[in-house]
Amino acid sequence: MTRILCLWLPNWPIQRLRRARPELNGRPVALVANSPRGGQVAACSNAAAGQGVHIGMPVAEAQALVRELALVPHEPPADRRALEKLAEACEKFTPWIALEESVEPESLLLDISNLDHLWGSEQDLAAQVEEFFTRRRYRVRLAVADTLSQAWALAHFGSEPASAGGEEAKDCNLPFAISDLPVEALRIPRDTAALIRQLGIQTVAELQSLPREDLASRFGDALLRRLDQFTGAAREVLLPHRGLAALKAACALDEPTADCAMLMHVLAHLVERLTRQLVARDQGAVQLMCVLGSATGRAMPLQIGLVEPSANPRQLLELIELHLETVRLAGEIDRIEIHAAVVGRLSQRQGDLFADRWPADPHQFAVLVNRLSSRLGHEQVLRAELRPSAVPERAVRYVATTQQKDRETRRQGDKEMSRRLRSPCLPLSLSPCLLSPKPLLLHSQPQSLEVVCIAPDGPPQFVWLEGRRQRITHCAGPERIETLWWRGPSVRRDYYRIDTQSGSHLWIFRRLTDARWFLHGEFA
Amino acid sequence: MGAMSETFDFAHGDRRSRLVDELRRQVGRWEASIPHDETTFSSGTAGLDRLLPGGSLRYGMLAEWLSGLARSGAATLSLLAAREACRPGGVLVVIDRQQMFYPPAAAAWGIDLNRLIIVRPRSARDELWAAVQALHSPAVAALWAMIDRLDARAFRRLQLAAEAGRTLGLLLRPACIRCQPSWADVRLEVSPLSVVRRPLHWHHGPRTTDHGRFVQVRVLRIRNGRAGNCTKLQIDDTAHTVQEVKEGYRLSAIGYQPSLLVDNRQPIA
Repeated sequence: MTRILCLWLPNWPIQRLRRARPELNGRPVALVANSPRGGQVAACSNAAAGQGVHIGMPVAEAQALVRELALVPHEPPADRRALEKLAEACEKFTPWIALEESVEPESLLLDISNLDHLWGSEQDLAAQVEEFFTRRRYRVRLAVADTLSQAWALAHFGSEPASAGGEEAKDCNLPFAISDLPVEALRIPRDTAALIRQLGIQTVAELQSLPREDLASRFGDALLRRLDQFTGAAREVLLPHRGLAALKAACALDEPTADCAMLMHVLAHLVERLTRQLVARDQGAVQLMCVLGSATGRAMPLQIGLVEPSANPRQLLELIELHLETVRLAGEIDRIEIHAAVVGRLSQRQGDLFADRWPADPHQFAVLVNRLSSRLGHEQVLRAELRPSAVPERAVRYVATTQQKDRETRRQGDKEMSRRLRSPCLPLSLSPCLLSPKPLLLHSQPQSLEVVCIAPDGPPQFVWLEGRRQRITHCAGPERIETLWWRGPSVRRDYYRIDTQSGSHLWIFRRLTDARWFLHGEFA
Repeated sequence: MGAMSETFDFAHGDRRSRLVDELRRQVGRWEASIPHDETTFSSGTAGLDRLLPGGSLRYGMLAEWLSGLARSGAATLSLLAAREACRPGGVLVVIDRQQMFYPPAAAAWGIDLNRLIIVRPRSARDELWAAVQALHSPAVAALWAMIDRLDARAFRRLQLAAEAGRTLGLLLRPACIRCQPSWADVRLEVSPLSVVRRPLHWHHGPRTTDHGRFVQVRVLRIRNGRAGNCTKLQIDDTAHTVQEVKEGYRLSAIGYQPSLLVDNRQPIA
């Protein structure tokens, strides 16, 4: 079971400053950041805060309040570097340590899963970590929980010493103490939290009791993501502060060449080397970059995206070959480099001995999409999502099948989240576009059409198609489609379904702004 | 036959017609030499099933749907077949070089957009390549493609890929290729029918009631079967249903002027 220890160093910039400049001890201190409106207080000591100084206050005002206030320039990069050094020092407790995901981090996150036997117990380990910092005169708050989000929330807003989850809490949803934390514990922006509080919602539990759809429409998906991370419905990856070596393989050719067979031979060796590195880390490439350096000095990058992580050299080489077929070499190549730009954890597959055809192996689907995308381009292999719009061309959105969202979904491994993300944005029954029949073939750009009507705003009688006048034998409509002015360019159309004497079933519309007719689709 | 009459109760017409349909399907299967372990499925329309070899579609076969300039209803009927092929699982791949395929309409006809991939190749060469790849993939249940030109070699590649991947290939093609050789298992021609509607006179303007579309599907070529059979179907775009034409409609092939031939003052029986 995953256990995360969150270590918060409150007011970290001031703490670092006091250690770096001991002469400031005992004096009220404020860190000054430059802004377009002049110097502002970015952080201040407790002594200064006690006298009325607060973050965001103009420096002149702070100086007026506290006469002996020491002003020091705010240096976020230096704060980060110092925190990273502390993270390195903490590697004696656990090898997997990350900095809080923030522009100005103040917390360290330690993955202490399955380390009990080395330190006696979880509590002993937490006590030793705390002692390590207090001995160095740092003020810290610690919390241990099952998820990163809960640990962070308890460290910042919980009571000391804080610990949640563990074996004893396996069966319950969320301990009362956790869900009773304030909404700021969700790591949401300050303005979002302020807005939620204005609505009278104070705690996470109160927020959870609201319908998810309403929360998404009011505050966006970011809030739902944080909420899911807090409850453990969505997994959050702890990225270690110490980056691993880049996954790459390169080769310089003695003789420049434009021979594709020769290049593929070299690429096969490079891919083999790269996949060995990937397998050693139990990872697969999700995005592969292949850079072909020409003798003229120009480099030609090839980007290969995959639907699922792969460390199969044959598959990767085939995708590079498919991509290479579609490009023209800039000249003779003298240097080749490949590296895995994005990687993911390899999934284990086990074949069935007596498998039915369906459900098909999802890996086969990934192989097909990878092949198609490599040769045709990612933007040519698409999925369709329904959008809540009555305007036909805006009622669907195309997304590349290899888009990042799917990969994230798979990595999270959360079935509920996966179902929600994979389903179209809009349920079919609610799509305003499908309230009336729509044609299977739709022109991406409506085509201008010549139509004869007897009444000025009446239904069409005749239509010119391919230079011939055709009588309209059947007409259904009008169906008026109008958009609201705040949804982009205004659309005002009267749609008709018509049958012509030649047997065509067309979808045409009259633009109400200028009474011109257009052919938009065919009921084919 | 007498024994059969004793065994089955033919009191109800529905039951009798179902039995006849089933027997016809079995005979069709024997004639078409379809292996028993092959998974077959309906085309989505009973009238259309009767035209098909063995009375059903099967994975690994290629079906051509021909339509004229009017593009009568071939796309809708073939998409229904694709929907049936994808029902047990698998993905539907749509090759859409013209970029005209409209997914919301397909969704209304029952296509699951979560299992739909739209491929938009830029050239005819890429179009053929993508079709072969999709047919060859075990993850794909059906391929739906509007392909105008296919030489014999390319057609043979498609057929081999469909057989290897056990994928249903649905090719929408123009009627002008009617006389060209085909590697498909079945070649169907879909042509529009004109319906005489009542009761308004034509000078009052076009009709504003909705009866759906009427099409005739004719078998031009079929492997191990009889060509020339046809059926008349009514496509209702509002209810999203396709059914055989019922009594009460006066249908004629397009080209006639129904309003000139029929006295609209007479009620239609």
